[in-house]
Amino acid sequence: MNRSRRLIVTAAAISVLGIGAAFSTRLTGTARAAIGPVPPEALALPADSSVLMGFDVHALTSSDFYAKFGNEGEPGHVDALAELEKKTGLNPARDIDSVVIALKASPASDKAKQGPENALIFVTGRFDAARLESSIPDSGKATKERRDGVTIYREATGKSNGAVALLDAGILVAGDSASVEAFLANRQSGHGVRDSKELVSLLESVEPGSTFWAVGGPSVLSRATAGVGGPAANLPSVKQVVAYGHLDPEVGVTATAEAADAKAATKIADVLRGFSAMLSLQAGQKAELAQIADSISVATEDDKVHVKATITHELLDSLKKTMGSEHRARKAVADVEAAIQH
Amino acid sequence: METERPATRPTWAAAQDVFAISIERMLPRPRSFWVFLLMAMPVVFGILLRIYPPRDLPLTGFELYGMVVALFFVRNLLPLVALLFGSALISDAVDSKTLTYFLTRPVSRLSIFIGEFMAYLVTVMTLTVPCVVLTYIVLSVGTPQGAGFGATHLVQDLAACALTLFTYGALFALLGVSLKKPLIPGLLFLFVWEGFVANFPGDAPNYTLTAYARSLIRHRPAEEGLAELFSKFFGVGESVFVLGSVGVISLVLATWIFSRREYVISS
Repeated sequence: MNRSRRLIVTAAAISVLGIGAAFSTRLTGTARAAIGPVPPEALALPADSSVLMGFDVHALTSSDFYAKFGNEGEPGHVDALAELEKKTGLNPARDIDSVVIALKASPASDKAKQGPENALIFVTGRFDAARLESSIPDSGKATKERRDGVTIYREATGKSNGAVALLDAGILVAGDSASVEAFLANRQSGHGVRDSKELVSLLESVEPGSTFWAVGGPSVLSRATAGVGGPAANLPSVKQVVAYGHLDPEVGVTATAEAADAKAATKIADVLRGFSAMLSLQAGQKAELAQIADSISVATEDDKVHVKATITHELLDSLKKTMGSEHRARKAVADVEAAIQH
Repeated sequence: METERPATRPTWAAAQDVFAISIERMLPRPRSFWVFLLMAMPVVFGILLRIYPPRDLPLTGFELYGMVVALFFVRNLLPLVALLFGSALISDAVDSKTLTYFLTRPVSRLSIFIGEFMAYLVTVMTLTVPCVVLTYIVLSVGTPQGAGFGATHLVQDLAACALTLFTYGALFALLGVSLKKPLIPGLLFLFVWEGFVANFPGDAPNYTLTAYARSLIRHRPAEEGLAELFSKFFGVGESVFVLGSVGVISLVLATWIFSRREYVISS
């Protein structure tokens, strides 16, 4: 058995080394300190966050997708980044590397509190305190406090309860004052995202290297579907969702939703397949919609629904041109009607 | 004058002896070499892809690996390898006269079949596992996801490959002991039944093995068009149960037929 034994031992050695290398990379890589896509410094975000989402701004702004579709009115234009640039003078392409947003669901009865004030935004990049201060529109409307090496700016007009904490030249946290204070307290005590096993488990299933990602629990999701209305409002409740994707060389999105049971998962999958079929039916008017429908794949696995979509830049470009010409045609008709009325 | 018939060796010990002899017949042979070259093709293409990356490849390295495992290995190559090795399990032993040797020794037919099947499994796993691992390493090291991301998927994929080889191997071993020329029916089964019926709409894929085998590889990218529309996916537990059951039943039937069949051994 000598020759066979040598071959078996060689094959086993290659396999064990390969698997060992893969697992050692998993254990010793940068992922050890971070949890999934959340950098170690952001782990002080609250453990009771309903939704955590983020995007790699550096990857976004340097992508072919952003170069093609990043202008105003196009699919790659991120209003929040444009707004951030306007308000703080921070240039996303130059100054920001990544953004992580933690959303906390307000109690259903507390409608007044629902909205952006529940969001805590964690930004990494290169921040110049002097430039940030100069970007605050009117002096005297923000108070500045220096504590434990952190500079905290608070809104002083009383119109809102917003605060921005500059942790160092590379990390900025913004949100309502209480949330920012909670983040700073967590940072001191070592509490945060790690305290929630559910969040850690969801974050670890996000594919590393994703340009954008989001994980969430049931409360915010049910609110979101209720807000959409129509068939989506009748969807069975979703326990949790993990979604992530990339923009180059094509736009790819992967999402996994966990429903209450296998029956609910099948119902959700059927609604999604129905949506895909509706897109296919409109292929006569817009051929691109059939291609988009083809690129969406829906599968169920017990109580989980897996959705994958891959859309090429060419397809988006073609869709943009079709919609652009329709928009111009509608505008021309409106102009003619306005001229007739005059 | 009556000679005393020696006592039959215990089943497991005899099976180990048969395994030791059969593995020498199966593994270091030209057929294994060519099969290994075929299995190593994704590794070679992976290396070329990493050296000369296409500008508009719409897949990440890990997605490409998922496609290779699901479509190249589990869907096509492993059933074919199982057909080549499994259907010839006993006929090769007849041709090489090792069956003559075994049958004239105090070894039960059950031990012979178990030993031969163990040698088949070790041979095909020795050829398959390094190629799958190397394909993963070549396609994922140095990519944004890194080699660590799919490490657990890699182990699951290896288990899926092992189960695929076991089930198809047992089925083709059954074909091999039942038919004189099992290759043509085996090829028809693989490319007509498994190739087409698995993609039919409705419940037709329930009656194919490939639909269950491919359900075990869940990390591959989305299929498009009709394949996406009609592809049927089963739960992991259900797939393992069906593949395992078919494998065990085929193995039991093959052993039963082998135990009762008469072999004419030419001198």
